[in-house]
Amino acid sequence: MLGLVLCVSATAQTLLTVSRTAESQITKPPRPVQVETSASAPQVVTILHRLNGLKVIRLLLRGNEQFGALANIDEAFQMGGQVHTNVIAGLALSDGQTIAAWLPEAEAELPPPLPFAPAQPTAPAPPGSARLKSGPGAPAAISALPPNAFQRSFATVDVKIVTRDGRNLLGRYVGLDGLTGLSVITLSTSDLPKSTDATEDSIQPGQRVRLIGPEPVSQNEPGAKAGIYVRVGETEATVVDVTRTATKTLARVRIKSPKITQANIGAVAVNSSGEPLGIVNAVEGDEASILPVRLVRSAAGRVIARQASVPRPWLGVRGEPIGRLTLERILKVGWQGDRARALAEKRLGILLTSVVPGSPAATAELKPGDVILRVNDEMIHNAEDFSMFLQDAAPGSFVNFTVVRPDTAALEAFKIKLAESPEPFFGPIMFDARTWVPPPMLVPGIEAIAIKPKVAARLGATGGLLIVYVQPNSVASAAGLRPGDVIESVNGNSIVTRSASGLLNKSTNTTVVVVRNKKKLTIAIPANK
Amino acid sequence: MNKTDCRDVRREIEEAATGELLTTPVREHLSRCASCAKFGDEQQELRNMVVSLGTVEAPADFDFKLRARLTASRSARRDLLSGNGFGMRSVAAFATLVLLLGFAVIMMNVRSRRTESAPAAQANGPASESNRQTAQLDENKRSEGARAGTSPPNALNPTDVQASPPGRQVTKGNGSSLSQYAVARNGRVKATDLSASPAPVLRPTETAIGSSVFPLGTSYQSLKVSVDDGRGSSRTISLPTVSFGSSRVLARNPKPVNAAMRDSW
Repeated sequence: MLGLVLCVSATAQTLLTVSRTAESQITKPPRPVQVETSASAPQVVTILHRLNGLKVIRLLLRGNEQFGALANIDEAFQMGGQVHTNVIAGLALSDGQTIAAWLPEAEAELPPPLPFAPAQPTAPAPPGSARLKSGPGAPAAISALPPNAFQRSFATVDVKIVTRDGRNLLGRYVGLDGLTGLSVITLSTSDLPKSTDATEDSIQPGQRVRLIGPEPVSQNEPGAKAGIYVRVGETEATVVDVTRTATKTLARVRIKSPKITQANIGAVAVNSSGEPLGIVNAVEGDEASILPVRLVRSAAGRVIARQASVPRPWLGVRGEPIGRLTLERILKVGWQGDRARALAEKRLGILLTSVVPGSPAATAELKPGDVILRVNDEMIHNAEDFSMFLQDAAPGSFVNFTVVRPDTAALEAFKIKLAESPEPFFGPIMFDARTWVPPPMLVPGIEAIAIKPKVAARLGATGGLLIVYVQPNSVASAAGLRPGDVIESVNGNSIVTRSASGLLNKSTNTTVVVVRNKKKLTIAIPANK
Repeated sequence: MNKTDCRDVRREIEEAATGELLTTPVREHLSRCASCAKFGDEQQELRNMVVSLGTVEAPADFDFKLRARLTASRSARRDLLSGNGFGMRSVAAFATLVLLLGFAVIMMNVRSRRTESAPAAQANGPASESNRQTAQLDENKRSEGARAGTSPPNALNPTDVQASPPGRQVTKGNGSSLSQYAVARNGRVKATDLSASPAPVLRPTETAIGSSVFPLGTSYQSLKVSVDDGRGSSRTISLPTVSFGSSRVLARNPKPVNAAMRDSW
């Protein structure tokens, strides 16, 4: 009987489809049909983050310690023109104006990472201190060369927003939240759809979620114009674990699906009703981690309040929660006998495995092997607890830590002033001091790379250093140096390698000859006092 | 000599980058342990050989092409399962034929019982089988014809633009015939009476400019950048002009920031 019903149903569907097709051939819609889907999560937008050639070189320079010089570039590689576009999902927040997204190349828009020690503040040069002189090749005065499109392109962040209904909007990059790694973008008007978040209590293991993000479309379809097409795709997954903090707020959601890949990082997770759950921030195998939407909103709030990137509060330690460690592992780091066993049984605290030299933790004399049991009298059960308690503290604020050490029976109390994380993209490289080298800075506020003759010729120079970043309000910036300038000589000496930085970083005034837009300029840089 | 020490030392040797100095404890250990020293020398020799081979890189558009293929593959599966493709229709048509044949067999049996003609009843078996086989062949031909007339699943097909299964979609237009599609203000379907009016057809040219698929406004290519390590050796890096999702093809740390933050504060 059931088979009969199914057959009749299938037959009806077939007949209906045929009928629909036949009728549609004679009833043409008056204009291209727009398709909408229920629960389509319109608050998920597509972000196009475009980088010009100079920003790409900046990324290369920061990402490769072996990068000595730029030897050659393709003809299509333009320093001031767009050379790379990243396409990723963004989550429109409830104000209809703010978007949070995990832009993988946001580092290109930020200053270079600093050494561990806090940077010395650079006093801005007094007005008029940047003097222009006549130099070789009859250079023109800077004032005669107002910023053109080439130079303006370095000062702006090119982010375009494409909404689910096909609108293209221009976004303004506000900054990066160092704690979550999320970038925050705003629109000039409240043009984005407003939505309701999924309630945290409703998120349970076994629940199905949809990961929404842009994906490329094949170019081989007949009739399709040349170029790349993008559509918003979906991946289904199931919640396998929900981690909550001691205060029962959602700290992390873990999902699983055989379809999950690294490409899902940055996708927006929504429930079956299209309500956002958060943003995928990590993928391991067939599992992924979702940063809950509440934390996404907090991150956006921090950046919006500061109207700039917000470094994460930084203690300067690496560690593992005791609850995840075996007794053998605890014994290995200096703990002995009954004390180690008691530690393993209680499963509380964070075991420090390394301390960054010069960090607040090192200054307070925390050491590897120490176990942080409490933060501001709140017991630490796992890594999420520890992160949450530190998140509540802003950089520069004091935090109380209760620590137990392998060689001391009594608990010890530490009051430590947290610093700002020196690197926005807080990666493990910081802990590998053997290989990490601060990026070269010719004068305070400049990042540059040596260029070989072929590249120099493209820029109208004979050789020298290509400036890829100039810190705003620095001596270099006040003197008139700009990204894209090629420094050909310093005090009359040709400059061909970054090791020539010693020529500049002196206590005397310096004169540099730069090539900008294939024209030579002489710029005086005041002494670095 | 402690085996654990040797294991840790060898791990550090393996993890050390080319040209990187080893830590003092490791160097001291190597001066005492001939076995580990030999291991270190072998590792160094291996690294030198690998470095001398040069870099082999995947084509810059590898990631892009792979994702496009995966997208197309998913679309094909979705079409098949959702009934947008011809697979479901074929099954439905076949089921209909089986139903009709079964009905015919029953009717013939009933008729044969009425006539109580044994020879006729015996002849019905082969005849039914013959009819079924003929019908099956016809159906196979129809299915093949239908498949041949179907363009390969692709994102620019109408079915691809419809991102969710049938029944959850609403077509909207400004024609009066479409007013019967009752749509709630939040975009969800209240009721849909598809039998009451003709359904519009989505064509590839329309979908290309529709809301679900949009052009990126740039073409895909791979840009070459040659860099020098400052010691005379150079290498060429391919930079794709487009990347999707979290691909940090140009950055130092391939892992997302939060993956690195889980154990560091």
